[in-house]
Amino acid sequence: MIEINHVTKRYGKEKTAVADAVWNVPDGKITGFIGPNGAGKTTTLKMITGVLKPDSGAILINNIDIVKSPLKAKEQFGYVSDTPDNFLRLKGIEYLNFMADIYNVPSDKRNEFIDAYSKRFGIEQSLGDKILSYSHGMRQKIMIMGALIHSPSVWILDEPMTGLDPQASYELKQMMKEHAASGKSVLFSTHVLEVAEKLCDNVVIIRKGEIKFMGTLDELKLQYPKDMGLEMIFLELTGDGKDN
Amino acid sequence: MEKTIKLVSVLLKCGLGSGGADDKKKINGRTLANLLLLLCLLPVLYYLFRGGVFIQRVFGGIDGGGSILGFLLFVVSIVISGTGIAACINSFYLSSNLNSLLVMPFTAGQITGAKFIVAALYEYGISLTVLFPVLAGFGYAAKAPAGYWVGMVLAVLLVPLVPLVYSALVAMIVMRFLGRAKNKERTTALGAIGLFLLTGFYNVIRNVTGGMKLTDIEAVVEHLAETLKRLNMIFPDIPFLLRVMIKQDMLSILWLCIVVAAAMLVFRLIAGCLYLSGAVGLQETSASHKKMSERQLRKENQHVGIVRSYTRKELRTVLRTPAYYMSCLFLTLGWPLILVLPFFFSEAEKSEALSIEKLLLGSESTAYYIFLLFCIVFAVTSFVASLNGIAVTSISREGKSFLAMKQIPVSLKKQLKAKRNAALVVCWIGSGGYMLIGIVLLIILKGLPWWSVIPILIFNLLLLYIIVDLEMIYGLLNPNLSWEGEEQVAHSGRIGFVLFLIGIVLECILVFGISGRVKALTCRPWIFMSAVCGILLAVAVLIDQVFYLYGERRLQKLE
Repeated sequence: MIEINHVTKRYGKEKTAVADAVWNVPDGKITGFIGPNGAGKTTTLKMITGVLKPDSGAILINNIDIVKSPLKAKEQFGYVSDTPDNFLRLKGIEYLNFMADIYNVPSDKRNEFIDAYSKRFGIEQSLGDKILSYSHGMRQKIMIMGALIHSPSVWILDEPMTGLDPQASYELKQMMKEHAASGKSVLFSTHVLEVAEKLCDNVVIIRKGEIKFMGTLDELKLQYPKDMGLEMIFLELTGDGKDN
Repeated sequence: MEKTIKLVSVLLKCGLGSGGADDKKKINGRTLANLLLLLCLLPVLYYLFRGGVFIQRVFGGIDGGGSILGFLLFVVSIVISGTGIAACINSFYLSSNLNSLLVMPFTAGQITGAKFIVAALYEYGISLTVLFPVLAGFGYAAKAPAGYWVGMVLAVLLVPLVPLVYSALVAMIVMRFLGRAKNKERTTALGAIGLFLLTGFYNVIRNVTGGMKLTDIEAVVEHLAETLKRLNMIFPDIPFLLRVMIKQDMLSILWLCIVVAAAMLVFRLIAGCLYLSGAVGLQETSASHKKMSERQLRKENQHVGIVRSYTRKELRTVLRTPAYYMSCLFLTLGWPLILVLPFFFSEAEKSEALSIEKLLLGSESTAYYIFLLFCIVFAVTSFVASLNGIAVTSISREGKSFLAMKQIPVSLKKQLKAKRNAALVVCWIGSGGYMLIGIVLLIILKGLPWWSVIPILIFNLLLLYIIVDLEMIYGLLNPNLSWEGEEQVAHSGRIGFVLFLIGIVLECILVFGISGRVKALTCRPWIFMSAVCGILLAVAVLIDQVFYLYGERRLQKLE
């Protein structure tokens, strides 16, 4: 579970990236984090993952404060960034073992995981090659594997579908559903509303640093005319000068 | 033509790394650094100027100076041809903007024309820093008339062009017809190794000719006069340049321009045929697409400690990235090829080594012997460590992956330790490793005491800890995290040079300032050694604490 309690982050005196945010990612649910460019999504994700410190408020991951006990909190989640261009000079298998060493995954468990997920993602033939030789989609897959190798209870995924082929995209969605169904948490940010509509149990919509909505999609749709599609609702909610 | 010029401007801006919104501080810092670099170059330029004066005084009488000038222009043209192949392959094919350019409405001629101009501007570095001062010195000594000076300016501006056309043609033929060259990583690696071997070869030649008598060189130049006239036909601009400089034949300027223009036209025509087919299909690196066997997987999937795993990751990244191993590894590990190998060809350097050997074998006391070992260890360690860019670039190498450092459950202290260890491993191989081999050989062949190994190892390790920690601190001060290509990461040159200079100053203090007092010491050798180790250990521990404290705070602030 992720709890964000009255978190604020400012850049200088004039720009407030996130203003008094209160929301959470409950266990057993897939939560979509949606917002236009510059809304504060990346800043929020950076605070949740411990890259940035909030100016006020607290972020708890499985009841562990990310600021007070950063190392313990970071062991609770697996994070997949939106740009999979890290560790390009390592081979796929070397990257996975590096991540497994970082998270202290025993040899037998990592063996099992790598075997199962490389087959699931269809990249067994590429594990011995450098990540630099991978296509964008393959890099995304190996990064996902690296983030999940320690079986974290909380998944934080930033635009995870970008570059994935339909098969891999389907596999990842299934994995997310299975993970949430087992009582664990998934938070993912996306620009693709159709994916959010089909996958998410909850959505959190952010605009200019403020949380505009938090709840289920059904609750969101109830606040607008019946014939208004999700896209129009989102534009209404996040458009300039249109506060709800 | 307008498109080509606009493209040149964009390529130069990208190459100089000024794509982002630099603040005034960064621009001022860069300007200051460039001015400092220029200042450091001035003695080199003066030395070359004096070289030109010397060449005129010794060889100016042969063929009116034509032979020696022809030889000089020929050598510079050959050097530019050689280095130009690497510059052209890099600029035409390996740059990160290539894929963007290929989909835009540029003709092959416009792309290659722009990239040729960019490559030529970089090659002007050779003609300005080498050719210009030497020719200026030559002309000054000869009290040359106006025609010579006109010819000199033309030489600096035009001499790089014809060789660069040859380089570009070779580059395009290689990339068009040699499929294996389309692997960027392999091509860059081979180029780097080639350049390094050339440097070693140049050093050997320099030492061989440095040992030759003046009369021998005169005889060689006279003998080669006719051959040189024929060789210079390879670069058809040189005979016309010589006519302008030596015979004041101003009509030859017209012929010179025609020759250079013809070379450009040939380049343009051939580029139109060869370039695009060579540029398409380039791969970053090779991939075998082979499934790993169970045995291979089990071997790889072994649990290893965090610091060791992280250090391994650092070393793998450096060893597999051409830009990093060129700037961080080659000199650190390959310096014996450049400095020790030529020793076998130079009488002067052989006698210098023999005198050091005499000094070691004939030291007045054991304490003084240990002191001499320390001086040698200090010289080698500070030299090697200052060449090593791994420590200085350790944070910058992360680039956009820097955020991952903060997202993983590994303390920043452990990550700094792992990065420092990676630098220590390489520096130790390049310094302690080679010194160990050297001292063991001296123990066996010259009868030095067997325990000499102990102070060598201890002094080397402690000095390495101090120097590498200082380099890491420097790397933390102003890391470059927003780079597009790994070549932009290397800023080790400047700090390496500064540390090298500091090392020389300290070595001079040791040898000329302290050695006299050590000679007069009457303490037991083990007390002296313990005192030296104690001081080094105290300094190392202090700098270590500063490194970790500052490092953690700095990394926490970086975003």
